[in-house]
Amino acid sequence: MTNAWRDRSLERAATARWIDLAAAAIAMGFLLAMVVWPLVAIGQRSLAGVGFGDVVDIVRRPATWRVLRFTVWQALLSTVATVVVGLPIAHVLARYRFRGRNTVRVLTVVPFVLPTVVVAAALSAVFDTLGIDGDHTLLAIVAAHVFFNLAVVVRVVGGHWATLDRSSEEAAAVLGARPAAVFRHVTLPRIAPVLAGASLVVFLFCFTSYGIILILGGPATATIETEIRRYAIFRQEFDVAAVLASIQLVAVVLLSLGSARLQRRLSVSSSSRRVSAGLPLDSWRRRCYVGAVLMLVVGVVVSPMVGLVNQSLTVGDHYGFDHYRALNQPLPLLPVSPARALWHSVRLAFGAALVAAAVGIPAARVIASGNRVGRLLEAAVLIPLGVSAATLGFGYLLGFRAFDLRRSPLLLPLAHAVVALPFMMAAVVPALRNIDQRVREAASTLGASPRAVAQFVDWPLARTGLMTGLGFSVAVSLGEFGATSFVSRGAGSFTAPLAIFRLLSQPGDALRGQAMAISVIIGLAVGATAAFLERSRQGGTGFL
Amino acid sequence: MTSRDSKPSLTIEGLSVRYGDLLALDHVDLEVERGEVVAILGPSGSGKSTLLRAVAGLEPAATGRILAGGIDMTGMPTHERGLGLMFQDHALFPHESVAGNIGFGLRMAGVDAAEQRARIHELLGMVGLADYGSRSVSQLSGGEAQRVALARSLAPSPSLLMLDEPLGSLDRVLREQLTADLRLLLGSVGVSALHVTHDQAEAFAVADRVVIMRDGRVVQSGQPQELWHRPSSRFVAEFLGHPNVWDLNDEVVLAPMTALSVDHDGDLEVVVVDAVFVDGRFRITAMADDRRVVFEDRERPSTGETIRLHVNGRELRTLAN
Repeated sequence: MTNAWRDRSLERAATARWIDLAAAAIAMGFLLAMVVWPLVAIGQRSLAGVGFGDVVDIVRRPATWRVLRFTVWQALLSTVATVVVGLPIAHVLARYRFRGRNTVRVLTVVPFVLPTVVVAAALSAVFDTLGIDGDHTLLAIVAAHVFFNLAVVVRVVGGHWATLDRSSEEAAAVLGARPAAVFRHVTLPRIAPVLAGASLVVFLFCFTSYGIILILGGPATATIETEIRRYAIFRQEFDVAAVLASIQLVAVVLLSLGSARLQRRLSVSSSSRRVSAGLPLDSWRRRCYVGAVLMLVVGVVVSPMVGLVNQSLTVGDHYGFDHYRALNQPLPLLPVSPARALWHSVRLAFGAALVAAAVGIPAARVIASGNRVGRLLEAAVLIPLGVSAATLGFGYLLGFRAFDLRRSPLLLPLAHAVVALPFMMAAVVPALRNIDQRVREAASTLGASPRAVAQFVDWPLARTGLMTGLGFSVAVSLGEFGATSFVSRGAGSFTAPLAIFRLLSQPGDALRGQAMAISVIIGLAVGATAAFLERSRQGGTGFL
Repeated sequence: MTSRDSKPSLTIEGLSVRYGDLLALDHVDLEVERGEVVAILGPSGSGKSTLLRAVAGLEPAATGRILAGGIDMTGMPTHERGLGLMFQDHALFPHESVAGNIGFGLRMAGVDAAEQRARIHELLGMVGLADYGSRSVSQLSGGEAQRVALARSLAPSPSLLMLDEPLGSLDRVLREQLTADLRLLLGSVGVSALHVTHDQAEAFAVADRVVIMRDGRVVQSGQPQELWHRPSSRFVAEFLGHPNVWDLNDEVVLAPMTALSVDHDGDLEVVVVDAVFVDGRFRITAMADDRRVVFEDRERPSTGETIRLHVNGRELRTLAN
């Protein structure tokens, strides 16, 4: 019964399995080395580096408690503030129909894609312009967190809200409920699960916030993240830093598990996916309400961006491009000129995007195939999203001491690729999953060899996803600050976000102006990339 | 292709396909003559789609041989077989235009551009979509997508065209119209075809010969009228839509509806349960003791009425259980 054809087909199947195995090995190897190993190194150091008694001692120090309390407190405050500001905006965008609604929707998402150092610079600028001494205060931190995380509440809650049909609300009104009662008894219970999920995500982001707190905070506003940096870099007390990082990790894991549970419950409750048409602005009350909410958007979202641009152009008592022109002058404070740092960032961003693609494409193949290895990879790839970049950076400090990889020029692009990888996967995996197996089969019945199927079916269909992934990776890397601040060594790896941070932490209007100018340039580059990707994205569900 | 003239288009010998522990196809033998349209009819899970996929090379054969035009294709990769397959939900290429879809097979075969254009034009005309070439496939209606899929699978002039429930996703009116179109089209092209469906009417309307499958095996094959009048088993009779299959004294008896007529002197007494107007006559469901009897008549009886039927004994058939 054996014939030559059958032998050949078995051979081909074996080759295909081999390719899949190699793909899984590449992706797994990268994640083990660049994600799992640094985290293990932290855990190991915090347990083995010091005795268990010392761990208890570090945890029980009043200073540690103060830091823990403040970390939770600022995250809680920020979350509540974000929800309070975000809910009316979500409501107006979900329920009312007015000119410019889409513009407002895009506007509320912009801050979320901005790098954290740019967000901090913008808030610092607006506080400065308003004449409020906001630096080093809790107020500035909370305001920056609201600005940054607003998109999560507006997008997630608003998106769900728009799909709820209004008939229950109308029924309640017919039964005599006032608007406030309708909201409390009908609307709120229906959006509550989504709201809880979004709040948890916001809390997680604020809990692990790093760049914003480092720039806008001061000695009195130290969080676990900034303390890890202080102990690791300035005091060289790696044991304490490791214990703090471990606490951070445990908290993040618990929060993520809680969030995942909520998501599961949520997916059951979401029924209709149809977006109901918006209400017209046909009464004074509605017009006033929507107007007031739009003013809120201007105050919270627009004014920091305007403030940033304003300060970058303010030279003494007049406007000019002096700060931009001065960017290629060397500064004693920085190892390279700001322009050079920008160039490093761009170079690094493309390198990191290429690494992310080189790991992401094989990983996406395995994940899209949906087997057990794929599910494991899918979870592993998302780790950097929850674990803060600063923790990862510290992990590299600890984990790569032995091989002295810390000094390798490769470490920074690899680290950036890790941070970019979840975004790469969010774009590539759905693109691969969307390719119907039957379409591939149709191509082969029409005479397409496996190579031709890849060339004429897989590639055209996955191309958009890959380009989106590359774009996201570039944007993420351009703004990466957390891991960079730990790993960057010397002039060659000095990036633009580091320059912004250095310049903002020094007094002096000229330095501030230059920090603002770099922020505007990076913000525009990242914002333009995100806006372009948002527009070119063809259907499908996005990352948020 | 002329050398294949005398050979059957497709010969399947003892073909089995295994999914893990499940034997989806169990030693199937089948032959399709040149220009013949054969329908594979069976309930879902009977292995009919697996049969097509195995012939196309999309599922590996566990045992048996597949010969097309006398050439052994067992184990040959799909893209080298030169057979056409029209997929259930069309599986059009979403990134290609209508013309791009139809021309795909020609491109793979390395046909030059001018010839491709001419062939695409010819096929678009054939399926009645002459001006659709530049459209995106996402703009097509269900019926149009189905025609494009048909044109795409016919474009490279396959030696055998296989159709996997090609009309399954369409509504009834469109389905009946397209069934007629399909029959005419397959006849005019003269292509041998293997048409898989679970719909008895569609199979009878399209095919010269019908093969009935159950649990991965062929249970009966023949021309539509042979199958209808001489079903080999209770399963075949019931699956083809005969309502009166009775257990009588350890025997299974088929009474075609045409064997039953209302007759005041008839010897079968039944009580009317329901009457439905179908294609110009009333289809009446009645009970004789605890046995269901379905027959047709011009008049509508009232529910609960007792009626006598004449049974034409020469039309009754005994079946294997």
